[in-house]
Amino acid sequence: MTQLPEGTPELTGCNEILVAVDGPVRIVTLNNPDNANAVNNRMHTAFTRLWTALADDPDARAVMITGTGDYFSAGGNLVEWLETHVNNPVTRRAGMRDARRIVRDMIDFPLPVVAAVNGPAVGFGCSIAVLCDIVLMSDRAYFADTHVASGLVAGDGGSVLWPLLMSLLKAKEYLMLGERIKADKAVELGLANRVVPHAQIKQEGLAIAHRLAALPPRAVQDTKRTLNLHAQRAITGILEYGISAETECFTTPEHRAAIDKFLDR
Amino acid sequence: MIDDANAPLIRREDRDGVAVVLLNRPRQRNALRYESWTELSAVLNNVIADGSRGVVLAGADGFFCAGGDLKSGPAHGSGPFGPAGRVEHAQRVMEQLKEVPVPTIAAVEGAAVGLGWSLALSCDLVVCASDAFFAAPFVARAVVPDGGLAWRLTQQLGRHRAASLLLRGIRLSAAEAERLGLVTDVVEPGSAVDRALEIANELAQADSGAVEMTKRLINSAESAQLAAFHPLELAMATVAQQRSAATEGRTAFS
Repeated sequence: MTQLPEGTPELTGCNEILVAVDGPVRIVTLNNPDNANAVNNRMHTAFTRLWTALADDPDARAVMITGTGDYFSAGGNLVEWLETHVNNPVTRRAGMRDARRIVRDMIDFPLPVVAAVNGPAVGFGCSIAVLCDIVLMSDRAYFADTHVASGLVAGDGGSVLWPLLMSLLKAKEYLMLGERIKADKAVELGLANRVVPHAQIKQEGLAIAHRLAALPPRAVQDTKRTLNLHAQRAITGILEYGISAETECFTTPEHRAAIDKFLDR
Repeated sequence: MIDDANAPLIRREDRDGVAVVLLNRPRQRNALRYESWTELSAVLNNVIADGSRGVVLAGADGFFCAGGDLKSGPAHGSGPFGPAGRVEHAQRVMEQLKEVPVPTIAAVEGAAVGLGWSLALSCDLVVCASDAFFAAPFVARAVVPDGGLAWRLTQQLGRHRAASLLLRGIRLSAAEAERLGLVTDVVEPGSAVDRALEIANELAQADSGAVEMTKRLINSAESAQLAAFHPLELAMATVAQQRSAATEGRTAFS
């Protein structure tokens, strides 16, 4: 696999989210490889500042997002979760506030974003990928939104955006049953644009990001904005409800049991 | 005298756990530059992070805000969105202000003009001095109202009174603003911040979860319309700024 330019934590202040500069393209890398790039609380907070910071970069024209190694992101970090979301109502509220902001920031983000989904993208990882503008999937990658099985409402993820991308019935099926969606199935459903051989995923993502970066900026950015007005309208009211409903789930015995099961592994 | 070049554009002073956030360009009547919004955004992030119980937003030296800074203008950067870069930045930070989970109270002395008025209206409550006034003189400067003002005034006052304020740019007195529901408390001149702090302290006794959720309900009531309105406002602002008339208008008034 071709080497991408080296990222740094300078923009995010978080070692687990690196940003590299490649001409007019910014490459965001989820970099928590010991945990399959699972998003810990520090990363979650950094995500609330990432998009604004990238939007303020006057030389940036497009963004690619990917993960270190062979994972995109395994979702939330359940070890920290117990402390911050289950046991403490104050940090739980703060976390959900951040979740809401991340979804909105991504929909409002002016530059085109390519997701190079280089491996499993689960939960939060799956949400992030699908909020991008062009989604490439490695033939080894899959999506899964596992909120429901772990006792949570899929409030900040699929239930908000998926019905805009696929049939409502299919969205219900995958969100309630939480089944894995392999790359080719994701394309068929409308959750991804195309499947790319694993060895080429990052290079292909970067190539598309550069193509987007070379387009007339005003035209491409305002086209994205116009299209994302659909998404913005679709999430209005729904995101708010979904996140409120999800917040209520953290203290249920079912969610607690799901965390205990994970911690026992 | 304060050296403006080195002073922060936004100053924060805490009183009893309430953050008093001051627009800090008194010699320019606290006119808002692009960087003012950046600093305000950072201050708001910190206010949330360190668990402040409330926010009082005011202007330094007894004047709330004269609006967007005319000298630096609304352009930011040379990119395609440069002409109205500040408009979008301001939109974002005002949304951020509305998302602050604790009560936010604007304390208006002097006047809140243009974008300064939008900023005051983005707070939960607006306290103002009895001699303060509000105005939206955008058209006189050959530009269009920003910060959601056209939406909010139309929503709140009805189309014709909003048009009168927006097209003619006439001043609205504190008493009139209170009557129209654009101000929640009118107080003696010089005591707006104190009154706002009293209210913030009173609200700090309330259950923080109930406050946050109630704020969410209030925001939700208007979010659908604003979501569609903001991009349009930005597009109009960009067009207005690109017209040469805008430049001439600005020069004439700066």
